[in-house]
Amino acid sequence: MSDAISIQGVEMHYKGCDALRGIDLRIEPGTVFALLGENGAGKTTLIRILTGFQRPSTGQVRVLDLDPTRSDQSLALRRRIGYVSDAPALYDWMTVGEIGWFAASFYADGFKESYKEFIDRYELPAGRKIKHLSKGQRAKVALSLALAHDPELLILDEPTSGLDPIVRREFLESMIAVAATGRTVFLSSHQISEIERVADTIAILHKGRVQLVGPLADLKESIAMVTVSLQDPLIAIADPPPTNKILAEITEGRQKQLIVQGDGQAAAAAWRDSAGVIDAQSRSATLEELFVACTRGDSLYKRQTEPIGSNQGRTAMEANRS
Amino acid sequence: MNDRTLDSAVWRSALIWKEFRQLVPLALTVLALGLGMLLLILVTTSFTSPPFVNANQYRYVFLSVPMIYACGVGILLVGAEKESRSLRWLQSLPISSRDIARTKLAVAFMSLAAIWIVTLMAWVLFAYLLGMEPSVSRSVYLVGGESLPLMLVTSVAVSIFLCLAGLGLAWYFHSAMVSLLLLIPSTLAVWLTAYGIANFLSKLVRDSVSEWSLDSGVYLACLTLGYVIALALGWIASQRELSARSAPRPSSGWLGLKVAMRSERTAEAWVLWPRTTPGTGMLWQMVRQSWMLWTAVALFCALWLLIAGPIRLFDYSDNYMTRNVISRDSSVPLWMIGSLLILWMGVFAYQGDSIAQRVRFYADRGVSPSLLWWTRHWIPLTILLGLGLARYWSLRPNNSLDLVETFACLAIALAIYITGQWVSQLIASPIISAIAAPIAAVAMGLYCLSAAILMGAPWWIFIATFAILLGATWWMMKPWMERRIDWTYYVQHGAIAAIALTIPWLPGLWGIWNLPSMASATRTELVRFASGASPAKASIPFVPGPQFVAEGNDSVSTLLDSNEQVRQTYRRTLTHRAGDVGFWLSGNGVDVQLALFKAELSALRSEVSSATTASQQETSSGSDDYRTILSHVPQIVRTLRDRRQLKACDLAERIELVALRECLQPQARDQIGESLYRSLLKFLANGQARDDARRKALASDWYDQSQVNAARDWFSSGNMLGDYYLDYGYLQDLRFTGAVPLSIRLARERDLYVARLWDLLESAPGSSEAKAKREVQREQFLLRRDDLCDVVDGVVLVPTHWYEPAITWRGDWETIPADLISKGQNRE
Repeated sequence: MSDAISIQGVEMHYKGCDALRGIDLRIEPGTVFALLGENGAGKTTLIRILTGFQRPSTGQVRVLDLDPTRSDQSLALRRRIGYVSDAPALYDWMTVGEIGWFAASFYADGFKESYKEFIDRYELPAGRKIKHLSKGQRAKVALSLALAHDPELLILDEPTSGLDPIVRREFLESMIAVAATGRTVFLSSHQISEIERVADTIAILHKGRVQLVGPLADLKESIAMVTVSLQDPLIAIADPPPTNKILAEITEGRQKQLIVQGDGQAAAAAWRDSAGVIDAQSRSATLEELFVACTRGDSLYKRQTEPIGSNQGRTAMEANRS
Repeated sequence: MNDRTLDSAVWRSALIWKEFRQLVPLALTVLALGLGMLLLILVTTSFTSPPFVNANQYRYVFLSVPMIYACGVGILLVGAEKESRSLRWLQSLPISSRDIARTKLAVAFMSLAAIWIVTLMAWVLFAYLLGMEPSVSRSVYLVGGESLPLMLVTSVAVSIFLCLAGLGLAWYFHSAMVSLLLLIPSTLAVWLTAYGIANFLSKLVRDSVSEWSLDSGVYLACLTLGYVIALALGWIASQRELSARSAPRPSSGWLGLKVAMRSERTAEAWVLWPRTTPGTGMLWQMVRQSWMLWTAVALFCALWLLIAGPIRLFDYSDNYMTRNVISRDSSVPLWMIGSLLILWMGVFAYQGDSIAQRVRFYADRGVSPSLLWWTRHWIPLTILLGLGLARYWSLRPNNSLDLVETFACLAIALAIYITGQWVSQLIASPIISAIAAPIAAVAMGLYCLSAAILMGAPWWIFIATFAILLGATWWMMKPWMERRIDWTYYVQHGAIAAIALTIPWLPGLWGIWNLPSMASATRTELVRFASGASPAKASIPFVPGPQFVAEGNDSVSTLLDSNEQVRQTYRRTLTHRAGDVGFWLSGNGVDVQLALFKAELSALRSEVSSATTASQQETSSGSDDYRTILSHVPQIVRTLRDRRQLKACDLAERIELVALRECLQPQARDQIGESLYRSLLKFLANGQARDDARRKALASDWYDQSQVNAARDWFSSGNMLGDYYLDYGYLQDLRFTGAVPLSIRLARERDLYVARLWDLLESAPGSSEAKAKREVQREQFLLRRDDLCDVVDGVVLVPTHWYEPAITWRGDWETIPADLISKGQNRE
């Protein structure tokens, strides 16, 4: 089975800004893929490329085996995907019902019924104009429109923004259900705790580069947080054992927090024996810590050019599929 | 579900519905404003019977509605969707870019056609409802005049161009307002090209007869070319906009270095900028935000100053033709575009911040509404002031009138600007407010004009109106910037506007309120006199005679002196027909007839006096004619008095004056003959009969006019008294005297005028009281002339104009016949 999304060497350059600097990603069908990144990391640009609104400066993109940048294929693609942009702009003079009716005409039969189910589930007033809806209600309308034709691939840019906690939880659970039927979900978000709950695979995007990609479970197992207490903050710690790799390093006073790939306990033990080190403790890294480490620590950017965990990610995906 | 084939008819109809639905606010706004403008016109000419209707005068309203719609349709369909980013969502649906563009184009055309049909039908209905004559209306509805079919075709053609150009520009530019703004140079470019080609061709052809059709043909050809260009560019831009956007190409070499340096410089420059005051910062934001508008305004101002600036609007000399690039008539489009630009500057004052609710930035930071208000106006008002000064300089002023004209133009520009900014605070959508503003401005102009015409509003009162409208936006700034736009917002705005619009009527209403009514005793007397014997207003038989076209005594004398045959013919007619009312009231005008009468009597008198001896005088034919003509005077005077018409009565008195003038000649007794002289003097001295005739004529004309008014025939009766047009000194247009407010005022003024005349007759002739009353009466009349019908150095002056009624009443001449009689008796 081919990849739902395949991105190879995608770069995107604007005037005075490099939005994407060589992205390589492969997303298997039936997964919930989460793209994490701080503001301005390039998430929306990547999604615009995936949905065919933007041509990349260089690189190849295939979505459901179609090239979204080609106008002869983009139509077929849009019938098969559901997309919610970061700030969905709907026709605010239409009512909730009218926009469903309007959108239904562009899809095959069944859209309207499905849309009705969604707006009933989200308790949206069908007769109210969109301009009179709250921000959260608008987000729900946009989601309903994206989901109503039961797309093979859902591309969601910050989908839970503006939703209340209950709807957010419901929505995320529905994403798992969608993936369970073989559909693919590609979503970008800042909500790490939510991603942690639903995503099979994550990628952390930082300054236009993928810093970390892989199955979430594998990443959690293979990456540890080692906290090293030093006698003097100016003392440099020794290199980790050869089986370990430091992904990120954050110094706070006499404490260093290191995100380490490999056996964290072994690395901590090695540093405990080093000169000037008072103590070293290892524990599993949370996704938030990974995210912070990937986005805050410059060390990672300097030391690592290849996306971390890509091999493991691939393995994990294959394992997942099996 | 995805594998099923979609029914294209279904999604196409849904898409068309969406596009049409999107245009509903624009269509309704344009139609409502057009209707409002028509109603305004109707109110100004209301309750007239027969109604003051001329389809040609309304055609501009009907033609402008689809044109204005055409300006907005493309911009709204594309530009507004781009700005609101709903186009992005539409793109995410499985519709091809071609289908989106094609549907928008088709809907733009279909809706424009629908608006044209509705407008033309409204035009026909309007004309029908106002009771135009069918024979006229059938042609006038759609034709109206020789050039109307052509005008209609040209208007349709221009509207199609506006629609296509609007679509093309909106696809190309991100900002809808910029697209709207660029419609002006686009349209102007086509017009200028056609103008240039037409002039070039007319020089080649040298055929003045076919000049107009040639111009139109060239214009239509240029418009067709414009369609092709707009359509092609629009299509390319639409496909580029709707397909995946290409990545910007990296700049390389020198250009790349320059771009990099500039971006580096601008990226870091702000750090070095000094801290500013909020006002300065907001002005900077205003300039940065709408730099395209200011650039366009600056470019247009420069162009306008170069071409149309030196043209004096109120200069009727021919000098401007040689001094300027184009004539005043040709500069009209430039003036109109300038007005539109000023209007849109007003719209931009607020709408620039209204887009995407940018103004919330200030509201959220607690910026003072007043500060926001003046910073929005500072730049446009500075531009207007600068433009006014530059215009004054470009006129190369040589007299004080240039300063007056500059001020007048500046005031009009300010009024237009204020209307624009007022509309933009009322209508939430930037595009619809930009489209609605021109109609509102025209309606405002019509309103001011009607206030001036109907209620005699002085020019300075409009300062208050527009100041209030400007103040209204300041007053409503806080809710506007906080986006608290609900019904209370509109009610408050409406109330302030109602106050502003009522003010110009106040002086007129105050005037009506304070106009004293006619005393009931006078009214009773007038009715009694009017309801006496029925007047002899039978039709006047035409009396054949020589026809003259001459004005004034001198020219008539010259005419008679230079053509002996005419003189002889006229003398014969006068001798036989001077006592016939038909002779006086038909053929030549009464003014010419009276002048001829006076001139011929003078000529005859000269002939008689040239006969040296009394016997020669007695036997000459001139003497006979002279006496015969004078002998007709009592008869014609009585006949004219019996007509009980003020104008006939005045004519009778002027004939009396001419007769008196003859009686005052040194040799009159001999030349006229003793018996005729005596009888003439006796007749002329009968003041009671004269006063009785005056009262009857005055009462009759007043009563008849009141009856006409009572029958709701207000048209042409508001300031008419018999055959006289009364002018009270404020701006009036004869066509609007039938309008209710003006006719009420005019009717009351007429009552007072009549009452004063009635009162004048109560004073004794020659008394100081009579002189004083007469002076007061004449002071009220704007068209009074200085050539009084009085006796100066023993010569009776006969007034030659017919503007003012009863000018002869209680003049000094009334006492002369009695004096002459008494002198004659003393001599005897």
